[in-house]
Amino acid sequence: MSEQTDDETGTGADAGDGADAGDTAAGDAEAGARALRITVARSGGVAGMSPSWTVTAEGESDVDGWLDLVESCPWDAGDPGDPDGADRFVYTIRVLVQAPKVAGERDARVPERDLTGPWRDLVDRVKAEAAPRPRRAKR
Amino acid sequence: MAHSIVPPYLLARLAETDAEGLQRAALAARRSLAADPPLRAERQREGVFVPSSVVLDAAEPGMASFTGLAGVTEPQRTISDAEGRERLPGTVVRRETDGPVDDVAVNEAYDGLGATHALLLEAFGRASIDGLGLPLDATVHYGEDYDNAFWDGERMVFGDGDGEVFGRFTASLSVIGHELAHGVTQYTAGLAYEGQSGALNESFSDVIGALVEQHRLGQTAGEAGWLIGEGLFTDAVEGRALRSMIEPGSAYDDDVLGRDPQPGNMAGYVETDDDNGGVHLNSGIPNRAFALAARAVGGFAWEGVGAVWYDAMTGPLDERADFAAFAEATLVASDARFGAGSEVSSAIAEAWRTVGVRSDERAD
Repeated sequence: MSEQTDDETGTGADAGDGADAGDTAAGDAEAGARALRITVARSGGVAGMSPSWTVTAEGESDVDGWLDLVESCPWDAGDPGDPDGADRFVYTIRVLVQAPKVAGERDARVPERDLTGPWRDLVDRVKAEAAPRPRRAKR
Repeated sequence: MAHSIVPPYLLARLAETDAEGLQRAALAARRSLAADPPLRAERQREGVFVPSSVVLDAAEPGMASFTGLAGVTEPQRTISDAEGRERLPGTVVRRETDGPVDDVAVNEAYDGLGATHALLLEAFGRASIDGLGLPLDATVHYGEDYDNAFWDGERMVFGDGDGEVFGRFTASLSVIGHELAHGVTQYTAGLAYEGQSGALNESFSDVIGALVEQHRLGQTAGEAGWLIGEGLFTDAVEGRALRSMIEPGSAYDDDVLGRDPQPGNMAGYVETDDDNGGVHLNSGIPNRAFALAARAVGGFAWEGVGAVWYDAMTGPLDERADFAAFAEATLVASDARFGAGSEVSSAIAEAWRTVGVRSDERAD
């Protein structure tokens, strides 16, 4: 084999890198080859509670719709925001992707003050589409 | 997908540290301007004229100027309305000389700031957040379904809650006092908002929040419920408050929110990267130490253990102080104020032992 990445990254992360790799097209055709999960966890705030929201997507159109949004976020910006103040929210955003050209996991910790633009769009959409946990009837 | 060698969260952390360094320099400059508040109050009680209305020029944090002779001991409140947007400060809706308006959140914020100002002045001789009569600015109706209240470094900000779990955050006087106290910490000890120093920062805000309620109600330490954020939850939630200082971990137990995760002892100390290193979780440990000591001493908590905590926060305390360093600072402050071997000092030492911060065999 001319490729030498299998020993460490044979998890599918490079499946799309070699355009001539024999199993790419076959993998692409399987529904399971395109899957995505996004978890948004919020910590901090005066209440000190840590709610989280998770969405999953499968299938080409669904996954790609999320990926456009995911890709527009400044994952590597490392913008710290202004640390002034107290009791602000902190968001942890984690994306797990399995798709032909994009695979793997990425995460970022985003202070509330930096939750603007695509970060905000992503978090708002995850919150909106995550299934709310039902509350039992009060005793 | 390119993965950065340095994970984004670590980059953010590094840059944050750098920014904090700059901020600290500015704050240190501000702090150096602050007169000793108890001394100032003492002088006023003695009828000595105190030059007042020293205001810090916002553009130049290190510069002070005298702008008049009006008293600095009166609160200067301005309440603004964000009208559901996440934009500050919003539209001014009530100033210091205005009467109540037709908006309960505005009036609660106004009254709550007044009550906290009164506690600081009457119990500790401190004129507002900076000890120099800093105007108290607050914004209500921040965001949509916004489940939080915060201090942004300059003002207190209150959401209306989502209506399902939380109602409006101005409904709790202890939360208003909590937010204002973050300002006091910023201008005094400047405790770094991370890890144990961050939990101490949080805990001092809870202490002031609890004391504001007790002061306004004329409650003794024995009568007080030691709850933070009582009345914020809607009826749908199984819980009394956000936190219990006397019994951390017991404030709520709800099928959606889960159980109050606060520890009340070092054995339960939570190591986490979330919440700036668990500042709202581990604050339960010093919270309990305060409440236990205050109950042991009895009487009005702001006159005994509360005064000691205030002395410790305004004394020589490192901004990265951990629980043990703060415990030591409270004992030094207690000995100075009430005497070594005093009932207050003994109660404080015992309380720190109970929560596992201090052991019996110390080489001091």
